[in-house]
Amino acid sequence: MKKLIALSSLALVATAAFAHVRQRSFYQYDEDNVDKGGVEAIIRWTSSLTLKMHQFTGCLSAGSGISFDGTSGGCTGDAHTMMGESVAQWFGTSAMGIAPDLDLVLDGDDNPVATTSACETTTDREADGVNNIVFTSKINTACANSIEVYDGVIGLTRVRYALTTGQIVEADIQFNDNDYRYVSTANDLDNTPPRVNLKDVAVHELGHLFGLDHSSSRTSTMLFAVSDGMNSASSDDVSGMWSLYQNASSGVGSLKGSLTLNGAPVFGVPIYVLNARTLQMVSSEMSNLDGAFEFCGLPEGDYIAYASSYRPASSNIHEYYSGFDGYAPQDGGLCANPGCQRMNTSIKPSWFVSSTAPDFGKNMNVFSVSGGTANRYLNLKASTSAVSIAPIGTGESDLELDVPRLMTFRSADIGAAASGALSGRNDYLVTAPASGELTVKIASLSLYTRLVLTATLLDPITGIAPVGPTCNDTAAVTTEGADGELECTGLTPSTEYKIRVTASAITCGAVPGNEGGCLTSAGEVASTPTPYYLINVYDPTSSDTGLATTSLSTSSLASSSYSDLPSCSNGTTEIAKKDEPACCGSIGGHGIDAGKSLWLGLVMSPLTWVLLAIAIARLRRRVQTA
Amino acid sequence: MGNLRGLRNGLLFLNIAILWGAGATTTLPMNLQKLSQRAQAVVHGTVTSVELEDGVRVAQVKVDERVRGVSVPDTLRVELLQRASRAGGWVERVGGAVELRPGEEVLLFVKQSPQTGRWVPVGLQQGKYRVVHDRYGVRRALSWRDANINHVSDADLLTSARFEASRRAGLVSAANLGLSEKQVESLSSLNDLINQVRGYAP
Repeated sequence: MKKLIALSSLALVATAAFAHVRQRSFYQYDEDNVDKGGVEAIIRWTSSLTLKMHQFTGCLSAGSGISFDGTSGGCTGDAHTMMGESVAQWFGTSAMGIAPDLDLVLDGDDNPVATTSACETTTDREADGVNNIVFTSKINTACANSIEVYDGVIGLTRVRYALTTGQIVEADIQFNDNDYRYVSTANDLDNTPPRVNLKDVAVHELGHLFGLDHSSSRTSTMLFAVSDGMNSASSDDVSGMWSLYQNASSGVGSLKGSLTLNGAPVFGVPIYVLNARTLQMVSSEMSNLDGAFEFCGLPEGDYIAYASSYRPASSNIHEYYSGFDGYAPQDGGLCANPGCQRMNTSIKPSWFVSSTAPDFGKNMNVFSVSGGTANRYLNLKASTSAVSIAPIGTGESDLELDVPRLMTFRSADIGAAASGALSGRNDYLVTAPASGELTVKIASLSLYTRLVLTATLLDPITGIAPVGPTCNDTAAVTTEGADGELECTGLTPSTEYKIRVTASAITCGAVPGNEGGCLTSAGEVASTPTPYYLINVYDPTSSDTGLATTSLSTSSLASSSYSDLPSCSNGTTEIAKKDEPACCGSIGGHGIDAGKSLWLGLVMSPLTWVLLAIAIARLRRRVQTA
Repeated sequence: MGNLRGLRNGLLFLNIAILWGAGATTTLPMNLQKLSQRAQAVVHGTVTSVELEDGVRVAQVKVDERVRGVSVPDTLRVELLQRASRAGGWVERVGGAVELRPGEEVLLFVKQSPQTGRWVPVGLQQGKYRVVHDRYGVRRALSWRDANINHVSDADLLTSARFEASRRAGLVSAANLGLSEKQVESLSSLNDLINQVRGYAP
């Protein structure tokens, strides 16, 4: 339901930083230290899973407010319900309206009740093949295999996977209720013991269980700093889930390609696919050792694809590649695996946009998926030079409906960001469509940004709120990463309006994690935000994006090659070649062996999909019930 | 719907973060003082090896300086929480667990596990500061928090050539971390940090 206010003036469009991260494994040396050449794989489930929640009678802990049997014993929260709701957060539909292709059953009914009076026969200290949800206080600490509780750790997820395939074979979540009290109400860490909302932790830990690492989107439950109320999966989270479990059978097309610099593959660069209209992230990939990336199961629509900058090593990209002994062989303390060798810290975002007036910021990497051109190949050429876009300056620029643009602010405005005095401002002119409705979407391209963008509808003559139109009031929103939008109705058709985008910076102390104070001066000064952002304005009553006749021509990709690929050969075995992107379904696409290809063949058979669809429907009902 | 989500997110922001999730963990946020006071020992040392010990990855850390706390041996066995089986061909990912690499110079805030006798960083990733050298050779301390919060602007990133040069030199420097030299220079010096840690009440 949209909340409208009488005066159509101030509304804020929060921004989105695209960032979810899929975990990867890298296997190079076997148990005899024989070099196997390096096998890269996405860490993910390849089959349905059952999560068994150890349950107890009565309250979870005294005064916790949570029980495993409803409201007995004076407890008000129900752990089953809360975990079920947490699980359900991850099975929503993606930005494309498609649910991830993974089945999960939350099973707490037939698991033996654990007590503190006896040792368990199966514990999650061992590889027992059971995916456990355990509350640590309920495991007998006198047992040899009792769960160790670590100081300062509230929740923890162990994901066990096969080194050669990345296939998750077991995952366990443990909630530390020895030191913390899980509740159904808000977090209260100042209490003794600290109170922690179960769902806030559970949704986050479940994301790890599915194979996701941390996101840098501020509203993501996978953000490294978990906030009060972060018990719902954001679009970034759902997109991450979808990219892990792409529902290849639901879409009509794919995008695959590679990222190269002077002909050499570039590893470790996030590739993003956005909805060209809403600018919402559809999915993201990280270029693999071959520089390859792949997006499968894309529905019909228009998308934007681009390569972001190299993900800084400070965010531990090395650690997406694990082995028995870390990253052996070591080289002076540095990572020496092929992934590290193919990193390039100088990679800048790859945009193919017009950089000069009047079309600056237009004609980006837009591709469409439709019936006739279902599979696209995009060879992105990395650049070590930052994209150059002429800022609007103090003037105004025309915005066409459904023509997204990459924009920036004047460097003079951005220079003061360190002191929190950023004052960037861009003015656009747009003509209202016949429906009298406009939606404005803005997406920031910064990670860990402190850049907040605000959009306002103004009268172009008076410079104040126009009389007549009403816009949603999101003025209270002052954060990045939200799926915010400016929605206005009651505009006079064919009349020109001004949309003003302003930028401001967030100070260090307001950044999650800095509540203990800014530890270093770097926290204050090293945050010059990347001033680029995407903007699109469209008529929400029209489904025609208009892109097909504007920026969808292959000539818009002048710096890259662009061609159709043959359709994926469902139902047949196929061995991917190293110098070609892998076919749909073989995520990771490096070092696929014949056995896996056979498996892929089975997976891709129509009969399998029909049976799977039936199973999905049944299992989903069980999840909902749970 | 977009409104409601936006409003919710706004409120989230105003609340600021109160829980700190590190990797596949959710951990209690701790500043330097809390870390210092909760740790049994604070040591400055160098990682000499990482090996499997009883199926768990354990780092050997040669202690160069005992900064604070109880007496510790010359070599600390630091548990990385990650279990693995060579024979089984599997490994565990506990993203929030500390990662230590041979050759790495670190400042560690640790507690000894009563169950295993091994040492575990307090608050996991929060209990590790990585020592980096700025271009003038000054040792500086980089926390996990610094690494995650500081945005690295495109313009600040060093060139590939310099990255390679640093790598060959075996230095863990700004370029290796994806940080600019300016950012590294803005970090606290190791000496200052150690003095701060020593200054906190027990």
